[in-house]
Amino acid sequence: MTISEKDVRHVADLARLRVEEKEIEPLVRHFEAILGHFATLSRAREEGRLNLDGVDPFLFSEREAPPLREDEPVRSAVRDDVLAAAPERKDSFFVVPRILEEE
Amino acid sequence: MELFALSAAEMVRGIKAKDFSASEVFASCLSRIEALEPELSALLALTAGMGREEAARIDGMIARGTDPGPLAGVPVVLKDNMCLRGVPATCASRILEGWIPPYDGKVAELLAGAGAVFAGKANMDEFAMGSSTEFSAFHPTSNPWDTGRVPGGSSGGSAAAVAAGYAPLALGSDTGGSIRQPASYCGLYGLKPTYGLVSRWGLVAFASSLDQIGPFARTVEDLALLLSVIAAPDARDGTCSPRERPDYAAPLAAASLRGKRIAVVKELDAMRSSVDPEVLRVLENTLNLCREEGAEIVEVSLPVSLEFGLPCYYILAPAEASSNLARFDGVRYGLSCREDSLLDLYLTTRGAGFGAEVKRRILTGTYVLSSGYYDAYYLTAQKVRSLMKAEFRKAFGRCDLIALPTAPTPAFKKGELVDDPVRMYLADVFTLPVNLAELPALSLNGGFTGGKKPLPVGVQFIAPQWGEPELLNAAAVLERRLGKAPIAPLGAATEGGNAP
Repeated sequence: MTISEKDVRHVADLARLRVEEKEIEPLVRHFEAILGHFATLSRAREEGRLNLDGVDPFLFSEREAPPLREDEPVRSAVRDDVLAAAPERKDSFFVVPRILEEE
Repeated sequence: MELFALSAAEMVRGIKAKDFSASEVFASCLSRIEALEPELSALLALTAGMGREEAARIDGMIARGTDPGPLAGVPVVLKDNMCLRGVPATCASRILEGWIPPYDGKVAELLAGAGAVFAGKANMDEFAMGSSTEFSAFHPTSNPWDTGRVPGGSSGGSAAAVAAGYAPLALGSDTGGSIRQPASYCGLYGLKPTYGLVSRWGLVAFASSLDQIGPFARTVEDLALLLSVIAAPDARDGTCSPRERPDYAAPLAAASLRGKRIAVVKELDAMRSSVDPEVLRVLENTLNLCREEGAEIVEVSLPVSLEFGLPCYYILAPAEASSNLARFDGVRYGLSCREDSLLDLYLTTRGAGFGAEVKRRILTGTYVLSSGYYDAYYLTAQKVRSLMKAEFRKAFGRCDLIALPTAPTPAFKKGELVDDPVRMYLADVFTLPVNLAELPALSLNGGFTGGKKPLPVGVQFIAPQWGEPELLNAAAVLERRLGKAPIAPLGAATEGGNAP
């Protein structure tokens, strides 16, 4: 499987990661090796060594049903501590750069 | 023997009998840490002040005749992805540098309630992604048995801390082998519990369908003692089972392998060339001991798990990670590179805050979940996971435990695999099927390699769901034959254990 610099940049964009110029070469090389390893699965299917026909994907644990707790309001005592960790806050809000243009 | 070298159970007995105090135990561990930390770099934070206060509080309770609990005065190290109120939790990542959790995770609550004393937070691979602790954003950790080698990972700091005698107990987390593989490399007991046995409330998530918290210790009794404390229901973790947990330590006195069926795995034969001969020798020797103790050795087949587990894991775990790590966006906590636009804030913060391996996994995970590739990768891997669960279920119809190497090699040299992710991933080939199948497994030190600097070699036992008592039973029998796990011969001479 061949991976291009463009592919890596596209996925990095989707993942909201800025990738520096010097990171690109090793990322392309490592990414190619990792995807090459994943091809073990498709190769084994083509060769008939891995048969997934009629197999349901694993989605949930078949353990007992997850416990449901009582629907009681609980007051969180950590609001101020949480807000104190904010890089930038105003009153009880997290501040982010403006995302809507002013009319 | 110095106090730091005692087992947790011996510490508790001595503190409760007033042979020595919790403060004396803590001081002994602290001086051990201060002496060795420059060489090992196992910790990211030392909680000396907090620990001293806690130890003094425990001593006050003892003086008043109050029982401080089953871990009275025992120093414990937490992996740095677990929240301890007021102490930084970095996950060994720049993106969380300086973040101080405003709450205790469930395991921290349980430990404090049992009388444990926190000694520090352990180094790890960034966000638990790695097998060597070299992917910590801050510094690598040295293996106490040979400081030129890695302690394993991702819970390498926790393992090195227990192997060096910083504390008799530590907690790690295991997503694909991150407790068992460092336990093997550092010569300890390490247990990955059944998915759902231990609450992850306050554990920073890596891959939520695989992550589990578990104990490291140098004796089976200690391992069981710590497991008994942390294995508790918790309504705040929806995946944590409400079922009753047994006392894991009490039955160990009567441990026996008589009549137990322990399985070797047929497919290991075909893999022999890629497994270190010393690892195979130690496994064989351990199985012989099991046989001598009355166990029947049988054979099971796990073809899907051993051939396809690795690609399956390295599709699913990064997919989950790419989603879990989306929360680190520079808005609410941690590193924030302020920019004029929100998109640039995300891009710059995440680009600067995550290290190389985390970026690789986020990219891999994003790729396998992206439009056009989902069926080929993610869905296929989830089907393989179903097959793996089914083949383990079938295997356990024929045996009580399955034995495998913990890792294909003993501890490797620092720097050896950092630029070869796929070879690094191979270190998890025998451990990750257990996470994918949601099973419990234990690694114990089966012996040492020959040579001038002997390295510990682990053996892994896997049990059916909720089979922790079965694992501890086998480990207790083998401990009688192999001896308890030794403190690595570092610094001042240490006694006890089966040092080679």
